[in-house]
Amino acid sequence: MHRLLLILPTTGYRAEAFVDAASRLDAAITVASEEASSLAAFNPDGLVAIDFNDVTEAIRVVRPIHQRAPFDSVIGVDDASVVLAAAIAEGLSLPSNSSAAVAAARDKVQTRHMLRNAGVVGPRFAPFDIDENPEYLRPDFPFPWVVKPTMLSGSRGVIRANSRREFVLAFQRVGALLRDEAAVAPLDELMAAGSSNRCVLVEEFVPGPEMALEGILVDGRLEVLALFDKPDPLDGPFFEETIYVTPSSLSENVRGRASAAVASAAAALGLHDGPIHAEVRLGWSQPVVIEINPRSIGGRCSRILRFGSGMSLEELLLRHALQLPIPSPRLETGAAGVLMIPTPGEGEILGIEGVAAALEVPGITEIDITAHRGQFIRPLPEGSGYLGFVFARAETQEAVISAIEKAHGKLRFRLSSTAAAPRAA
Amino acid sequence: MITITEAAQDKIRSIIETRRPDVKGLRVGYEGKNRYNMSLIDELPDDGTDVMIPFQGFDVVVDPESASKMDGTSIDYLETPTESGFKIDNPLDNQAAKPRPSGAPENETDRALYEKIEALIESDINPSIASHGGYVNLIDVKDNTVYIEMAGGCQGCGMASVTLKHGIERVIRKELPEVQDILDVTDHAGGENPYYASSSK
Repeated sequence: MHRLLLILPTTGYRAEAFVDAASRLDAAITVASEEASSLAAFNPDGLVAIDFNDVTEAIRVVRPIHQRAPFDSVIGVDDASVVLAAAIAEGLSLPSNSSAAVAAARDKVQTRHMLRNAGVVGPRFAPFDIDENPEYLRPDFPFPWVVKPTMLSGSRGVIRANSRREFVLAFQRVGALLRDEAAVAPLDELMAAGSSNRCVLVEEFVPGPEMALEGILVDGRLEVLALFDKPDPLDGPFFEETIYVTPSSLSENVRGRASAAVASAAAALGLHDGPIHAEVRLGWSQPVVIEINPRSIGGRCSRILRFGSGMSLEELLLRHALQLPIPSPRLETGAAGVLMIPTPGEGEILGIEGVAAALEVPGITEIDITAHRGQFIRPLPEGSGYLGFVFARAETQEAVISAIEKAHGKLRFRLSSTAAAPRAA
Repeated sequence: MITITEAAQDKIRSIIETRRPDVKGLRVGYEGKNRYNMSLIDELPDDGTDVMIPFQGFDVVVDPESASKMDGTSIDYLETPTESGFKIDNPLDNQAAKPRPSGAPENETDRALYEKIEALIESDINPSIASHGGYVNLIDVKDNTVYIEMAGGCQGCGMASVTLKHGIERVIRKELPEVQDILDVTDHAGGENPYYASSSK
């Protein structure tokens, strides 16, 4: 029987997808989370708590289990867990990307340096400490700029600035976000070679449409699993992701060049194995890799991907990790899309309405509301997390987008007044 | 009985008069805890299955299943500087979550298994997951397939699948290897106080 060590943060979105995939493969798994399961006593080798910020201690916890029944692979499922997974794999002498390469990919400044050094096309950039006075900062490239924290995810803290006044405000806002809470896991900071949680990256704004690539690295070679168009423009001032739709309507030439850019970026970072999710801008003469991460697509978006005869992305990734045959990595036919439901405002959710009506829209296959009544939400750039996901499938990309927009129009999140907004936990 | 406050009635009439003169009624449906749909309808149903509640200028139409879950519901309209919209107050939404009363299957084999599983849940599972504010209800046992519902802190929890497959299932299968599938029939979207809420992208 194959055995996996799954590093599952308790606040992530992908536990069910990976647990189900492991179950379908009949693989035994040990779930390691940052907090103890209430049923750990009944499954001590299967449910363990580890310190996500202490690699040595984490390895000390899982090593005896590995010695009793060796793991074949260690899997991190999201930004919060991939660095630790790579480090544990190294500690247990299991195949993996190097933890240094994964940590570099988590650090936007380090990523920019490594891509530039490798000759991969990218925006000009300049890193600054959050305590610097933005009035005096002078990146040597013209506006517009994008101000972003180095280690947050999901467009959190990312702000476009078109002028010095906007830049000063954006810089102060990102600084406040980073000071306000422990937004970055100490492990990421510890393992990043060239940056810190106190670092703000300022880079040139790259105009144009954006696409996303979902792929898998096999012995350093990128296999593209899906390319997504993002029909809603991402021009700022904030960069909230909304609709992803696949297959891409872009020309084969553009798709090929975007894929080649991602492959070059992965190689520049030293990534050679496992999932790749990348965001690529197409407004320059060459595709520009805005982000590249050694993990699968965020949230629960992977549900729109079905390979061969219904295989999920997570099953495909686990098959790869376990060196099991992958029957057919071809996507099912037709167009598919997902909406990451935008956060409509700040406040406590009093009610969520219209789900049944939205589900009746032709083409809508599923609506997964992940926020709950009583939850306090706030939009970007300070907010994090998703309200939920709207999934659609149809003959054409246009039909998918239309269905998603109609369904979204029927959803309503009733929010409380923002007067008593609590600090983010 | 569903009541609609004067403010809500005025708002509905205002919408009908200013924007949708053909509207005859308001259809209200219950979609789960704290989730409702409301839509204006141009024709009133005449097949006798829906519950019709007349108000001045419009009728409220409720399907029978929703009506059974909306007894005592009040629909209000709020308009403040920070929010506006219809507010639905349903006593059912405000009920504290409590374990369901058990209802053992009639089939003798299923009932025997049901009782063993129920005992395991009470002795091992629920006391443990209570530390996370959760509990499990045994819904049914049929042909060695077990149907359970996760509630409290487990309902909507981001780690519910781990708790189920690597905790609850393990406890049950270890003691009762004859169990086939264990199926989760929880409405996780209706969870209001999940112990682990998904939030990190």
